[in-house]
Amino acid sequence: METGMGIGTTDYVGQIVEGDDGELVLREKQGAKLELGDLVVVDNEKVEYICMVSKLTYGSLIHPDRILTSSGSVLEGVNPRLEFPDKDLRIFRQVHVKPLLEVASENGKQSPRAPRGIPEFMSKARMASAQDFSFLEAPRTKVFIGNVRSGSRTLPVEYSMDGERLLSHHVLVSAQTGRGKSNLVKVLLWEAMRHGKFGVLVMDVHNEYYGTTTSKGLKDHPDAARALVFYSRNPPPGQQFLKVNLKSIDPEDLMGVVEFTTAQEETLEQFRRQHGADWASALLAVNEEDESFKKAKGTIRALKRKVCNIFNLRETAAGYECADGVFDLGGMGEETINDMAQALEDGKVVLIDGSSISDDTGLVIASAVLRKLFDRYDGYKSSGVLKEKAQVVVVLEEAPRLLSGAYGDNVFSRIAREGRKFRIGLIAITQLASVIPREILANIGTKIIMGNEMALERRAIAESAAQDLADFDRIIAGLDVGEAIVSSIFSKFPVPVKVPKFEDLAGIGRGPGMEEARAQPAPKKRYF
Amino acid sequence: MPGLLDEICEALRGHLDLPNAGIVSGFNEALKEEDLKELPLPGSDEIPVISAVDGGSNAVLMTPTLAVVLNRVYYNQFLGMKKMDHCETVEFISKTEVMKKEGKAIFRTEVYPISGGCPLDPLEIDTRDQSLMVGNMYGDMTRAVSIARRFCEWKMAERAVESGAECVLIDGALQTAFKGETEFANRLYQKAKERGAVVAGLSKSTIIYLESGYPVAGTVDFMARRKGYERWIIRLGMSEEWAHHATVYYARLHEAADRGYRLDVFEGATGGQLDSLLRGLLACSSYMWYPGYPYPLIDAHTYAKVGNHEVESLKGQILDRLSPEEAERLELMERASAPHEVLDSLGG
Repeated sequence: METGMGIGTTDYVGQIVEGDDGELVLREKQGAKLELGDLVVVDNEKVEYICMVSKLTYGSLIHPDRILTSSGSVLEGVNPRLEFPDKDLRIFRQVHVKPLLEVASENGKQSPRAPRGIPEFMSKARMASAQDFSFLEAPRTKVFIGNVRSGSRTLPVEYSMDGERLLSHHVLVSAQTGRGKSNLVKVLLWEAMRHGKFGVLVMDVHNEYYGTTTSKGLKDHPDAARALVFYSRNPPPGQQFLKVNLKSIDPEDLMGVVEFTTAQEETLEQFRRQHGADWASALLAVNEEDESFKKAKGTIRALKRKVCNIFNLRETAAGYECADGVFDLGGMGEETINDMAQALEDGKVVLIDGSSISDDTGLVIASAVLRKLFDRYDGYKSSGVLKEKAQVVVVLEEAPRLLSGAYGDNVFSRIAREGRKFRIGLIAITQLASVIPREILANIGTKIIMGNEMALERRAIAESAAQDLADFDRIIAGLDVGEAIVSSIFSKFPVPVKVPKFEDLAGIGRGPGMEEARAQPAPKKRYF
Repeated sequence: MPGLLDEICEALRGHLDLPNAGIVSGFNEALKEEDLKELPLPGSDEIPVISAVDGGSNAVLMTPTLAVVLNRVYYNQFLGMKKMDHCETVEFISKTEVMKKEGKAIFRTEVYPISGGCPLDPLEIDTRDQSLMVGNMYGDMTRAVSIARRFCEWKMAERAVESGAECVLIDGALQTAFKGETEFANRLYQKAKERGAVVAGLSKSTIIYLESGYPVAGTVDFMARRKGYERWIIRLGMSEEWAHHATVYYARLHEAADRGYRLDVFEGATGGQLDSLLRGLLACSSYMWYPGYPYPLIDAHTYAKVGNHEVESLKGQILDRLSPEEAERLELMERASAPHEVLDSLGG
């Protein structure tokens, strides 16, 4: 009895034997060897169900006692002359699959939607192929994320998202160390640079994105001259010196990045009111023994120490100077923050080499740039021209500390909450999603979930995902380097992808899936 | 109460003191420990192609006077534990009803093939036929409905021989039970003889006993234990019934088997054929979950079985064609023949 299939030559991998709308159970065809994360398709009349393998269990029609007895006989060598026939129907594997998508076909047009029904009982399942994703449409400004993946098999289907929507509604990249976060960010930046309409601010703490003479980086992008600005203490020819005048840093840029007491915050505010952009010089010039500061002597001393630490200032006979030369108390670097903000507005990737400055220092610079940008974009919003401006996004590594509000509100948590209104988005990268407040997690439209062994983190990310990822726990735990699940409010299903190696993308085109893709028939380019 | 139990145990002890010889009841032959033969481990000797035949059936409708049954009969081909490509299935519906004919009540069975084709003519058997009666009671429907399947099994065994089986293994004894069945059995034996094939039947259980009152099962097992044999066979004799053309053995086919099985071998089999059959059985009885029982029979059982969901679907289609009143009357008639379901549903 064939149920609703009519595909004679298909290689089936299983048949539905039980389940409900949340999970279907297949009896696996012997030798199919399905893996966690594999995509299988159940074809019914006019509807196909795309499902992901979420659990594998053993099935047996043999009484447990008999299994234990026979196994003991063989294992202990009591009776080794026992055999399995070639096709023993009494023992099998059960494959639990999660229905991801229901694709209805009407007049040759495919329309996907979240599953609302279940396939017919005893329907057969086959492996997903590129043709099953022909409903994916080309976005206006595509940002390639990776090839659609079925388990560890990469399909010749490119998965891209609309850059405007992706970046304006924030992105969370969740992964444990060594699972390919940096590679993914490089891929995203590379893609953003192709359009020249996305301003991306990146504090590159390990200086791994720009590239060197021996390794590929964003400098190798064909549009690098137009779309990339690199700031460093030791810039390569043609790029910018990282020199920031302290006048362009506002006390507000320190808030939420550095821990201050209420008294310290009030004192900083007082200096800003009295001295404007010269607040830092004024603070450093204070003689704590002066009568007018006598009561706040301790606060002033602590503030001076913190400011010196953040900006790496040391006191010399000639006054304060920046030990690493990044900050200037004189007349240099006054336009750096403005230039960076302008570059972002112009749709460029602004890469700051953070390898020789402290993380906090880098964050303060980023805060200053974003504050400036907020001011500008606020103005554009008021004058009704904001839509014409570039979508800006900031890449925030180790985001939880800033987004958790441990040191109070800051510009990053503001972006997470209301950045969308100002066309400023966030790419938050973390391995500790559980520390980020739920309210902020809920505001992040796209989660790119990479491998994570920590159950608590997997749970946190699953609970805040756009789709129900409750059954994906083991799948996420088992994701290999470069493998990810993209859960987005702009996607109708959690999309498993394989992110290409950046070197492949920058070198020959489209990543690791391509070799496999070339080997398969009729590859088609499809985008979301 | 304790005294009563002591008495029962005393009687039991009498039965447990197993002898090392005796006359097998119904076979009129002596059973002696020295006749027990040890079977060798399967070696590199050539083994025959074995076809196992089995049938399954499940009632779609069952009233005291009308039954509709879905039947499936299947045979396979095995070489040792390896299943070969050839197998055949026959499916048919049988309708058995009580009717009057020439002043007598008869069971008339008509067969409606579904697949595979089972060319059986309508079967008619007197309700007072000895093979269906228990005591003075008329034969009951539940026994009558199995006739068609049983006859079809014989026919399928013939087809298995035609398809090249060197040994045909039937589930159960080779004993015929129903009127007209011997003709089917004889046709099979004749065909097997022509083709040089052996026909055997293997029974999962046996109640054969010695005239001294001891069961063969147990008596022979202990004989083998005393002799230290792990695989063995012993001849019980030729059946005294005229319709039973078989030599009956009792055999343990694997060292891990938890029991021996009755093995009927068609009486025309030569010594060489018997040896070949035993080699084949030893080679195909090492199934992981049921050592000692030939795997071809397990396979045949699996494919012949008729599941409840299959008959429920058929029943639904039949009921759809009846009016509500007719369906209600049918349900009333069916209730009379299935009281156990109610008792079982009470639990406890």
